[in-house]
Amino acid sequence: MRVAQCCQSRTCHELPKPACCGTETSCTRPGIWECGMAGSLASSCVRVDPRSLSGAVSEPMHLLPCQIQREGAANVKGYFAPAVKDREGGKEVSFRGRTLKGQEVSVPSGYMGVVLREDQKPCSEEEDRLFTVKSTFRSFTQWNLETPPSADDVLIMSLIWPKIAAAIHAPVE
Amino acid sequence: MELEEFERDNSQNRLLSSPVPEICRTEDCCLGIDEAGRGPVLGPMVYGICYCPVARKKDLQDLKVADSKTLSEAERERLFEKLNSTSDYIGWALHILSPNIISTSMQQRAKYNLNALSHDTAIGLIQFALDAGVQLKEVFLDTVGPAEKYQDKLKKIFPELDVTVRPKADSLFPVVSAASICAKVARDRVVKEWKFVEDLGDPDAEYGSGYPNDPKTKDWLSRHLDPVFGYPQFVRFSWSTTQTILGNKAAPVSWGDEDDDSGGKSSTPSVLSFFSAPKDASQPQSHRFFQERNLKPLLEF
Repeated sequence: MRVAQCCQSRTCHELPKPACCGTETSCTRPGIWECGMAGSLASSCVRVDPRSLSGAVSEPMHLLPCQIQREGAANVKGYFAPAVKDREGGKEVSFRGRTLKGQEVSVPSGYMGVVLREDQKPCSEEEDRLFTVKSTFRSFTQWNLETPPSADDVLIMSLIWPKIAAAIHAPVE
Repeated sequence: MELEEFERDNSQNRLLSSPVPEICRTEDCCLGIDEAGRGPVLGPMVYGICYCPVARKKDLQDLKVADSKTLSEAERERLFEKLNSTSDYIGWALHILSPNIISTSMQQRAKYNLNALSHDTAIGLIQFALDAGVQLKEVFLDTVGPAEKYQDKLKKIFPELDVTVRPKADSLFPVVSAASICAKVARDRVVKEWKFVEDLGDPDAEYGSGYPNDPKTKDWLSRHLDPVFGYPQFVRFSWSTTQTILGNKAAPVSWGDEDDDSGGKSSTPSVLSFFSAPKDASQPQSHRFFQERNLKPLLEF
């Protein structure tokens, strides 16, 4: 089952890169579990082990308006989650002494959020890359620096894309 | 002093006050302002006011209030209880500025420095006393920044008050000494019993005075650094002490609004660039719809 459509067609667009405290995140359409590298001569393939999905737990997700230059686990449960307050204008917290204002955002319907982990990096470009699903999420908290989240935020506007993509690729009657 | 009100949510500021003595509503009063915890890298900054009728200044002096820095903790506690129980003619109020608010104010996009924050807090407390019905006539306080400028600023806002801004006001005017005692007692109590909003399994309280040069404070800071989050909200992130440690030992964090790092000048394009052809004119541009949404074709995983 080599599905390359995801990358070869120009229908799949990358969502803004989240900085979810050191974890790799992406939104995946259920069913597409492999992805060829379009346009490259290398025959390497990105695979996600579907069996890992059943063991994956659902975890709260936070999308921060900054880049943390570090890979690895973060003590979100200790430092961040307990400090989140529900204020008049919505959720509020601070990170490194800066105010963040947030809202809960649902993953577009028909989609599911997954956190992938690559346990072993391939040695060469030809080798396939294998990811396992570490956790899943149906919604996440979008955090803005100081400004309250709104419908005009780039992130919120970008989440309309799956709906449009589905419409323009639907068979013409 | 109902510190629990602040402790219930110490991410925010809190104003606490005594009842206004009846006599202070009818007789001309003097008011002193002082702060505690301006320098420390840990904990809140507390602004205090204390007021009494002008005619009772002598009685206040007889309570033997003095600059809080010259008193021991026990003496301060005892004097505060005395001031608090002399509720027939002495009133007080405190504004506790959360370290979280200090950090986020000083580091917000429209920078709000500590002097401006101090001025606004003092102004807020004078207004609070007026709104509470205290018949204010005289105000005494220590300076923050140049004394004359500060005095002019206050006189403009409160033209009906006789404002005296004087360095070392806390040792010159008993009403300011009394305010300094209230502020210092509140700050000490809050710091000693700091309720961490974070779930860190009760970090040890061996943080000393909180001053950046206190060896205990330094030691505590070096033991409690988290590479991602840095510190709990108890620590003032806007202090250079904290920023130095974070810069050296924590993960670098870049925010979208820090373009000033590149040296300002380079971010402004040369006027000539507007007349030359765009560099990547050969490249097909994606539609505005995608640009506005930051959507790009996924070519590489």
